[in-house]
Amino acid sequence: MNLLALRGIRRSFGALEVLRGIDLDMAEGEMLGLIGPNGAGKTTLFNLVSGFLPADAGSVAFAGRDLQGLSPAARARMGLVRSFQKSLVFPGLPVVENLALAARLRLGGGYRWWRGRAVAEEAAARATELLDLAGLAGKADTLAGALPHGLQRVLDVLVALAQRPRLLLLDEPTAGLATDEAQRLLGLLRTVQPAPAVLLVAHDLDLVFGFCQRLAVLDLGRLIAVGPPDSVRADPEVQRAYLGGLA
Amino acid sequence: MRAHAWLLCLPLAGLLALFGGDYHLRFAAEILITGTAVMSLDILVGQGRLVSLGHAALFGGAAYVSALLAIHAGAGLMPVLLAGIATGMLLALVMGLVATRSVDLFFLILTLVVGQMVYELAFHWRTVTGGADGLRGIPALALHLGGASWPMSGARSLFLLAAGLALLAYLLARSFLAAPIGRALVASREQPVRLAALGYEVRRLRLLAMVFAGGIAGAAGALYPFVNLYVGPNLVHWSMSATMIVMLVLGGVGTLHGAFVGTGLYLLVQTYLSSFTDRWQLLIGLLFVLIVIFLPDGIVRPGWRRRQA
Amino acid sequence: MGFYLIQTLNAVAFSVLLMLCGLGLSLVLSLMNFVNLTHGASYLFGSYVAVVWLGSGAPWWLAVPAAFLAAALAGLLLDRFPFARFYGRNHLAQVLLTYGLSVMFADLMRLGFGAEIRSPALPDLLRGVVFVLGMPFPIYRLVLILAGGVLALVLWYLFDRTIWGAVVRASVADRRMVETLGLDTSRVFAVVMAIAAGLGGLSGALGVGMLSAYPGLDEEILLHALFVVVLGGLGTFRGTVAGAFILGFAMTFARVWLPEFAGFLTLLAIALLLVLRPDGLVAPRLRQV
Repeated sequence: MNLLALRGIRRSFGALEVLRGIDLDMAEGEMLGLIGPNGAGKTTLFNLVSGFLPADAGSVAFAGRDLQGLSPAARARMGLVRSFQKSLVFPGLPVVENLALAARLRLGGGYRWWRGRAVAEEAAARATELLDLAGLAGKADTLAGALPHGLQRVLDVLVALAQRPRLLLLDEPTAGLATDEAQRLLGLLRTVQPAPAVLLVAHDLDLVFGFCQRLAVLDLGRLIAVGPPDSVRADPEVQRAYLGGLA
Repeated sequence: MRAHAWLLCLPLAGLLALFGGDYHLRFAAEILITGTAVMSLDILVGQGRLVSLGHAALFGGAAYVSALLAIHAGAGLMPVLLAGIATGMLLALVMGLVATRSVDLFFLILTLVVGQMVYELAFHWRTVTGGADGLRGIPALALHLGGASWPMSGARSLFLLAAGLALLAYLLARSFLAAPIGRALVASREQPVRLAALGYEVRRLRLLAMVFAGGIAGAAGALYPFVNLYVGPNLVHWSMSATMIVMLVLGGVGTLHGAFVGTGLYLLVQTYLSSFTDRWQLLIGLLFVLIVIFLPDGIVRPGWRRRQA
Repeated sequence: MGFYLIQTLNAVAFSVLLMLCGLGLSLVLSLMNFVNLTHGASYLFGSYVAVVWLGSGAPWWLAVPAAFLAAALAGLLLDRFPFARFYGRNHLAQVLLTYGLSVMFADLMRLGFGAEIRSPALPDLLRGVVFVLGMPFPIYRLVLILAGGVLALVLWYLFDRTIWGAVVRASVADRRMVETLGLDTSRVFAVVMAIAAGLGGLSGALGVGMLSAYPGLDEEILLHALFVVVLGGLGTFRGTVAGAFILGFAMTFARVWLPEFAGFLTLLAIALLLVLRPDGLVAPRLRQV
């Protein structure tokens, strides 16, 4: 069974057809890169899958379950987690609290008044583990808003990971990062256990090609190619529509 | 609040309890009770950025129910408190169900609408609420335990009761805000969209916060009739809600204890002004304007929030 | 039959009044994102100006323009200080500021115009009644309906169809951009504030023949106007008109059928409508993140 199955997804804004029938499957633990020129519909697709925007037509199934009508929060609780193009950490909370917030909900203690020791400890452990993994242990008590931009992006991804996602939708997680910072950030996704499936949008093509086992190319609201990096790179339609434009 | 401020507060309260006259004790009790309600508003405004213009309806609604219960079924402390808390929570639940789908301006208006519904009932349902005349003849409060009963109608016992309520409510509010739900509420103020992406139902969170705040406001409202000896429709009117916001801003939003400082100052100024001029409304209005222009952050700085957040 | 027709006409007259007043509030709220709780004071001020004007023997047909100008001038002054520095602030600060001002204005007007109910000395022309299906209906309210309708059309044309309206809407959408084009947005906002306050005064002058003028009316009108704007949805002319008519009819008929709980029922209706349509009846569709 596929982890994620999109069938015939369509969405328009007024007269503008942003997505014109998207079919896509993802397997458990898979890293899939979603690329395409600006305005191809990548962010809209993310919004549809994560439930922030309703689709005009088509279905989204996650772990065999139709997601029709589920709120973004409900989808997140199923393990379908997303990040945003703009970093959205909670600036007024310390780094570790950002992570604990995510972990606690996953452990069923998000709305508690009394702190429920078991949940609090497990959430804190999860937070510490992730901070160690990212080499941020020294920043645990810093306010998230006081972190430099690069670290905010890392924290963004860590917060997503703290939810123990089965599928992670990452929208430009490396935007504004230097190449080595970006490499390290994506490297995190490979080391974390359990490893989630990742649907990655990024502008740095070298990064995406090097990192993902499969690529999907979105152009003008259609998927024009899906496959391993080499075959996508060789696809004439992709070269014409996208890579050709860069050369 | 810092430790030395506490150390100052407790002996002050002690001195007042020992040597204060009836008038001052009652006045202090009114400050503490109203301050408790204003503090519960701070949970919404300061932590959740939910500016409610209907909070007086929770406080005053509970005061009406408590007064009615006392008049018709006797003024036992426990039943009265429970009825007030239940009323505050129930009204907050209704208000929250209507208003939490919206934020900002629409939240403001919807809390105003629900609050005014309570006002309309208080004003027009004369057979029960006394209409514009309100309720007078509030019986003396008493605590019944087992077979014994202690009267609690003296100014001193009312003051101590109010102080106990204020302290308890303050500690409860602090523990609420330090707990996971309070942290999530702060997060919902900063990044509601991200919080939803984390799997939190932001609406449920806001609703819980409102019901919690409503419970505290309700407990405060339950004691109010016995201190003030009168409950009238102005207590649930939206202008009272606006006044509560002014008290909060005067003390400092987001500090919890600032609510008591702001309420005390406001009530002092109001009492003083209304005793020597007929134009005190003009001056009160002017006070609002001056506060928001010159003291937008309030008197008490949110020190503990920065350290603890 | 005749009774309900008269009540319907009453509802229309009241709705027109709410519409004019609501349009003024909606203007600043949706264009400048400014919560102006002094709008009720503008209305009552206009009412008092009209009462004084009509009592002074000056030409009666100038009473409404006089009220408009007086309230607009007050709005202009308020814009200079202290409103202008609050346009960018959050709603909490705006609510506090304008609520405080409205309390002050209410007291000042009580001082200046007295605490009793004041009714205007209407000219004979506007005093009589016409008979509709055998039931009397005040001529004044017919004139109110007509004048209000014409005014609404003029306003709609001004803000929806002229370059002025475009400038205002652009100033709101992207203040920087408009300033880059060499337009002074603070002046644009001042003009909008003046017009909005003027509309409040104008509706007060028109409404005084129907509702009279008394302390406390400012607050009633303010709440009604707020409800009208929110019911209709921000930023739409049609919405405010729809909101005014819903509220006008709901209030009029609730008063006919259940006078005691008319206020409660009206508020209940508003709450239910807003639960069903949280962004108002006519909400501009928002784009997602």
